[in-house]
Amino acid sequence: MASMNYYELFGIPVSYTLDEVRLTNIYLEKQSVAHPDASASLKAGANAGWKTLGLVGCNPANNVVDDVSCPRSERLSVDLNVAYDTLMNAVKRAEYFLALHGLRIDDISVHYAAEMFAISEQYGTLKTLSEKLDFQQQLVCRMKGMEKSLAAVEGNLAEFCKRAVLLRFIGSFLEKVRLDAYNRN
Amino acid sequence: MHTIGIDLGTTASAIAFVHNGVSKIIAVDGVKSTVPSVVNYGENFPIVGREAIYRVDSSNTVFSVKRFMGTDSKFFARTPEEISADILFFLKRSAEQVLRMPIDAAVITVPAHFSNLQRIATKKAASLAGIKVLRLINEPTAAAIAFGLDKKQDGVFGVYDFGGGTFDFSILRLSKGVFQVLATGGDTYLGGDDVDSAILEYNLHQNNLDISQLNEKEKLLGILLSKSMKEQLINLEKTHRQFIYRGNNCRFQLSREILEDIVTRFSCRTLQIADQVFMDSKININDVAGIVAVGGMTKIPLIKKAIADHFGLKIFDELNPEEVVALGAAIHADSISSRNINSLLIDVVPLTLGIETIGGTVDRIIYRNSPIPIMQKREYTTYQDNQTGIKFNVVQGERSMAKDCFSIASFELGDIPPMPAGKARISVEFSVDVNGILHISAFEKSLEVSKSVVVEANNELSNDEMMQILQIAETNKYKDAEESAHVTVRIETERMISFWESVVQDLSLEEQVVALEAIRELKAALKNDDYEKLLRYRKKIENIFDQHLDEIIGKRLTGMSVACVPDSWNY
Repeated sequence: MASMNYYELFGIPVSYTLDEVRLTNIYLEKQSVAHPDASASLKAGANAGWKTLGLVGCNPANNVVDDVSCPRSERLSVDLNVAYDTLMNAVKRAEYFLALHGLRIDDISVHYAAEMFAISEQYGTLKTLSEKLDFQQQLVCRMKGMEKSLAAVEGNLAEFCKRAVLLRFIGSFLEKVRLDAYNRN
Repeated sequence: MHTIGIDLGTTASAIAFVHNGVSKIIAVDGVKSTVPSVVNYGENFPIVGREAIYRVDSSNTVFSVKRFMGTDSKFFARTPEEISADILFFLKRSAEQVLRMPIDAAVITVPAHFSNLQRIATKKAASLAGIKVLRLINEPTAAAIAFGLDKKQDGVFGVYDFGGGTFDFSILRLSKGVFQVLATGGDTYLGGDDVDSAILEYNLHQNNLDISQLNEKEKLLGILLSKSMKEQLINLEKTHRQFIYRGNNCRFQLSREILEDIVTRFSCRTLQIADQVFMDSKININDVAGIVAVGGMTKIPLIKKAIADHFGLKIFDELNPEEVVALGAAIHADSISSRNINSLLIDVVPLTLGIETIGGTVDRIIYRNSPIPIMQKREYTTYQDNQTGIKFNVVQGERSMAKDCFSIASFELGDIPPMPAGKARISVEFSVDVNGILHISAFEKSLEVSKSVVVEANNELSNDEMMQILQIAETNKYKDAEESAHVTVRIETERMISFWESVVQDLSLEEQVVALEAIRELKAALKNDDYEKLLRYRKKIENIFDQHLDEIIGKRLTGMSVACVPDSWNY
């Protein structure tokens, strides 16, 4: 069986630019056939249902081997969830998009050292919880901006790898800020 | 197959059933829509619910056992699973009595933020009670199902679920019958019980006392008094009670203003969590249609106002916040068992799952808010030459160091043939099933040394124990559900009558006349085996005695009268 990548699984073009609404609609439509609860209702018709939705591929990244313990419907549902979860996340999608091109985000980069340092510094000066929440909101906006800026250079993979470093940094910094705010009190 | 939905709550539980496409609460014995999650072990059989409250005694009564699920705690030599199983068995039997048919299976709800161990403990409790678990679903999700299908309205909703023991906030999108959970967050140790403790502490402080001076019985009485004062302030501006401490009268008083001060401390935390969930969901607050209010705490007007003010959103509270979770669970049970899918549910992993690596950091494998079912793989290797085993510590939580997260399992993969460090290729697969429960398998790739682990709660049942339980469940199966139901209701009613007769002199004279007359009718109904009449009179008597529950409980606990100030009952 020919394996499909995450984009092919949803029948959308391989691109960092993503129409989230469209992807979500396709995802929900496929899940309503593939999900273990839904496929129970389809029983005999299930195979036909999967075919019509083009759900015959397996998850290449997981290198899935068929085994009896995992019912087929659950496997498909899992594949759709893994793929959807990856594509909907700006950082994971960047990593996956690069992986499809045999590339990865640079480990260490001097390009954005100043920006990264500035973000850390600024966070260090914040005192109150509301300041930190505002900062978190700013970072969320900045992530969205970075996502657009990456999409703009997806034709130039060297530049893409470079910019993705900052995206990944903001992503993990956001996690740190969130944890900090969440664990107060 | 007959299925029900069960909301196994910290302070109260509820059951619901779908009939002709409509989800309805099963009022246990036709009396109340919720059953207190209280178990009394004073007799040689467990007594659950309201009767357990009547019989409350700190040396044999368990409250809020849900808070201890997934831990090693024991109460009167029983595990939290066993105690929960007694509650579940009571609920199942009650449903069978009301519906007059055997119940095979159920959807049981758990807080969205329940850890893996807590979920497994809940599943185990169900199997001890002889209930097949169709699915464990998250409480806020169940509420959204009940609410969403009720309204038939597509859109994005927040669910604010503030119950007796836990707080959850979830954001869901409903479109064309698919419920997609976008993000969830919460605190499994934040609920009405904490507010009750804070009220007690406040009142003790006002009387120059401290909670550490109270023994178990006094503490229990104080908490029960605080709880009932809190509930009264839903309708009243102020209330007061007498609390007797070592023969001294203490005056407990509480105004709505002070209650609101206390509650605000807790509601601030809930709103902080909700803000984070909004940020996680990446949903713009303007795109949210409204917030569904769930859980007993949302009956407090201040809480509803705080949510509305904070988000500037409409609050949906048309459905009873104490019933909505069970209603949704029943709808989902019906949907799964009838294979007539009118709603599909895609929930998420509440907490990040990972493995402790060298240096104590966490390698995150499945991130929070990942849709379920999901599976992820990782590869590890040996770090010493000729290392023959690897020990894995599986953790759950958001912190970067394993010691700050919950350790939920550890297992060892042994028999790795000796080879140089870094040569072995150990593949670890995490999968989270539709119940939100984690399964792990690990194997050495080149040599096929493998190990599968379903992460289990600590106190595992032996095979013998399991057989025993299955046999008990078998003998408990109803040959004739209706007849059997009558027998248990009769026995319960007889017990209740002797209890009521023993406390009837505590009532006012007029009430005594009414109660004694009703008890006479109830006895006649018992004698004539008139089931309908029996239920009717039980309800009538319970309503009379309910008004004096505090006094009755107080007496049992202290052996002295807890004077109840008459004006506090004017509602």
